[in-house]
Amino acid sequence: MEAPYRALNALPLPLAECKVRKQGFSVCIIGGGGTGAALAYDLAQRGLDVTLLEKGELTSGTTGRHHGQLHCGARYAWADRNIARECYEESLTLSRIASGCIEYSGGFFVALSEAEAALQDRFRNCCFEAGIPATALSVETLLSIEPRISAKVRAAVRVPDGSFDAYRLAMMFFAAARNLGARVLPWQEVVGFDISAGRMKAVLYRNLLTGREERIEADFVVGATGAWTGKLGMLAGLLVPVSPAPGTMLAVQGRLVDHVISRLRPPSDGDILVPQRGLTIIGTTERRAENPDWIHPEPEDAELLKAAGEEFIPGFSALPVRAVWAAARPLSNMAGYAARGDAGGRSLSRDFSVLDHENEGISGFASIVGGKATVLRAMGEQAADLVCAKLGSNVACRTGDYALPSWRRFFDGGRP
Amino acid sequence: MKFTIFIGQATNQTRYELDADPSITVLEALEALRGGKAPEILYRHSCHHGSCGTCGALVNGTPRLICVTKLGDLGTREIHLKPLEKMERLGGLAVWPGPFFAKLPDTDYLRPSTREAGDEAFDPDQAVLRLEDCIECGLCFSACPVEGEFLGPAALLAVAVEREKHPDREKEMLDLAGGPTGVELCEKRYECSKVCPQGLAPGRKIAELRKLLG
Repeated sequence: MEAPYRALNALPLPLAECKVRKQGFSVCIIGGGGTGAALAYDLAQRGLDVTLLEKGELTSGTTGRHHGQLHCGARYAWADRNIARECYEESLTLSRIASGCIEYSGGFFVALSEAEAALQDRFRNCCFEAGIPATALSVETLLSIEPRISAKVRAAVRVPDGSFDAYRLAMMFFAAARNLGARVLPWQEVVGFDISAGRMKAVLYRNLLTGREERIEADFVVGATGAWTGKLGMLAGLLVPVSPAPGTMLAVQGRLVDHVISRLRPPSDGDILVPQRGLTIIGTTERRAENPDWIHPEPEDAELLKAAGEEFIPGFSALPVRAVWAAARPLSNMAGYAARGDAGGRSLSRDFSVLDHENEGISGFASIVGGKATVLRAMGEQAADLVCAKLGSNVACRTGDYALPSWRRFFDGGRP
Repeated sequence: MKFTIFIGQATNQTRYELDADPSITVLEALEALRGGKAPEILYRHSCHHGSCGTCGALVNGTPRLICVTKLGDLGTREIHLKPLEKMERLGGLAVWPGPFFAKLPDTDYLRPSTREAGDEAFDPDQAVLRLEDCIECGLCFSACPVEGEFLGPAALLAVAVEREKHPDREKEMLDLAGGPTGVELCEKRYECSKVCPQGLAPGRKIAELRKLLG
């Protein structure tokens, strides 16, 4: 029996019913990934005049390369119940507002050894403390639902995970942002800032389609550039402690499972299987890198991931490989920032924060640091809260209340 | 291995030399060029595993997803890359796919999962909802020899799938398929089915719709 998670939630409102009252402030967002998309939609809905600049195609940095696991938070519950709880809340919210691109089917944590099986009670307790429903099921039941899983399986726990189309989820936020009047501009590379008397005045960018340099003035500028945050900060003379941490994923032909399957153990390399249409993705690995513009898998990554897949599903490593690719996650070293109290009291319990660069002497400029795909809406909300507070606007966030339009609607009305 | 990559139309073409392992994809080759000596190259990309549908381009004349096309599989060291046909061209390989999306009907993108053949243990009552196979990459739209108002293969495939999934939309879908921009404009050349990276045979679906419409 599949748990009807969707039935737990009330239906969201259509976006056409959303009334926006103009606030008279302008914001420039830099970065066209999922975070920038969620922030652009949030601010446009609160009545701000939004322009978003992305140097390449939208979602071409890290966002689109995500394996697509909609995290209920169970993966994080081992280490941090607050991050896990927030993931769960956000996964429920996304399943309401972006249901068109989400397979909300649940997931299983499987123990493939006696040692992993011995962790089951601790794992379920961690989930319980985070408010995440995690129920044990028999090995027989698991294998009746997912017959390809290795006979080595010793225990299984069902959790409300899901999977999403990483490109389409972000494009739904972009479609909503455009629908509410935001200008979403790909192929615009930021090359500098106009900062005077400690205040951000304008963003300078090059239109890569025309080669022309342009300038946009804004009341507030937010960097949402993920693994590029360190690079962007340098353009403003700031040292923002974020560097790229590439992770490799591998997709084989064949939909081997219908649910997200995770190893029942604390997070490590090669411990997640995600079904993606007719493919099965195994992720991930983690390394460090210098340049987020040239992220590629190392040869040994594919072998490691195939071997990890083989542990889940006998025969995995012999299947035809559709693709091996890497994505540059933003890795932040926030130790030096921990005491500053940026962006509200909750930030220290999260894995993302909004840095107000007024603390480094540039007002009207902030950066979103860290985070993960499942919490993109919450990241947008927190950054929008900071922007609105700084500008003296007190409109509340409503992005959880309305259904996002289809990604197809982003392309309505001609080029932005 | 040394490859020569040409980007753009014959009249406005840029040539790049690249020493690369033939097992890398065309997209990885472009990423290597853009991350190094040619930061000006424009191309669309997102998922890097053939799921998003953004990275279509003409590779030596054939529409392909460059993220799952390996240099070594092309049978030549000269690789000519051009933007997809019928899209709005932005420069380099980049296009605005608005003309393609404008033709797609609003259809349900989820369907009950069915396992591959041979999975006897699978119980259809436990079927989960999964994403549709069409990734809306527009390769079929680009390859289709029919110009003008024709809805095109991807849109008619979506119409056929929606009709099967949602009997309540049967009339609406058949009206679209049987309308002046529908199946009657298809020239039955099956270029769509040849280039579909998901193996979805939109040409056959169009033929089925035509049969239904009588």
